[in-house]
Amino acid sequence: MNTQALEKQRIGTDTPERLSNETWYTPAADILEDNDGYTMVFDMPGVQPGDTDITFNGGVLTVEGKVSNPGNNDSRNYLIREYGVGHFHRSFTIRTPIDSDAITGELKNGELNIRIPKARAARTKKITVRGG
Amino acid sequence: MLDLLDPVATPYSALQNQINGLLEDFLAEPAAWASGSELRRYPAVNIWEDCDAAHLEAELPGAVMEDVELYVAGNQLRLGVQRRVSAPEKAAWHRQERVSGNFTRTFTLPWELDADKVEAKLKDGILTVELPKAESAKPRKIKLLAN
Repeated sequence: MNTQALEKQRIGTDTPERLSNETWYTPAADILEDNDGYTMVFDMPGVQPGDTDITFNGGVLTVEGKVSNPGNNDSRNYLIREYGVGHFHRSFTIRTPIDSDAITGELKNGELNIRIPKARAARTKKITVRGG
Repeated sequence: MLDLLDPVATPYSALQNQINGLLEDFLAEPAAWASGSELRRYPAVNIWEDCDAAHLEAELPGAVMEDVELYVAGNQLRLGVQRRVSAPEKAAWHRQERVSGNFTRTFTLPWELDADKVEAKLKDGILTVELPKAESAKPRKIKLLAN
């Protein structure tokens, strides 16, 4: 597992689409591992089901979520302005062998939940020791 | 925390909001506050105004209606959020960036609100609140009298 950014922050110039007035953010993520696989949860507020893209290629899992109203709304008369609105993008390198055909994702209330089953060979096996 | 039910009409609402923020930081994480390390206020909000109302948006990924409490009195707004991040049994954390816990934020607006007409909705993890200004706070067009 390998990542760069932690909080919602601006991703540099390496954006998938260079449309003006759009910013890409790094979603906060939780990653859990159990014997059978990994669970990843991403904060993607404002993204609707159907506007997400999950790919696994060359050992890299990439998630993307698009909001319907990106942009900075600079013309608004802000009293308090603490966050920007934009799309989400994040990648993780997974070195454990996984069953990429069985990856599933669900988006609910702006929370993307991804389940990544491990390849059978990578699962922990419990060995029973026989008494003599 | 400031008394929500006894709002003080003040032109210094920006300053007031900064003070509220410092209080929130201190109450949430006293140790971090003392050491001057970076704090994260949750949830992050945007508030903007137009002629008739203020508009609040907050990012609340994963939240359902029962997790959010909203109080309006005078020119103040209090937002309470409960956030639970659960892990399945026998799972090990590799990374935990999403915050959890109970959070309260208080905002002071520059004018009185019409509490009866406040409307809030929660969709796809975004809270949207319309906060109409009280009649007395709306701009009125003054008719000039002919000489």
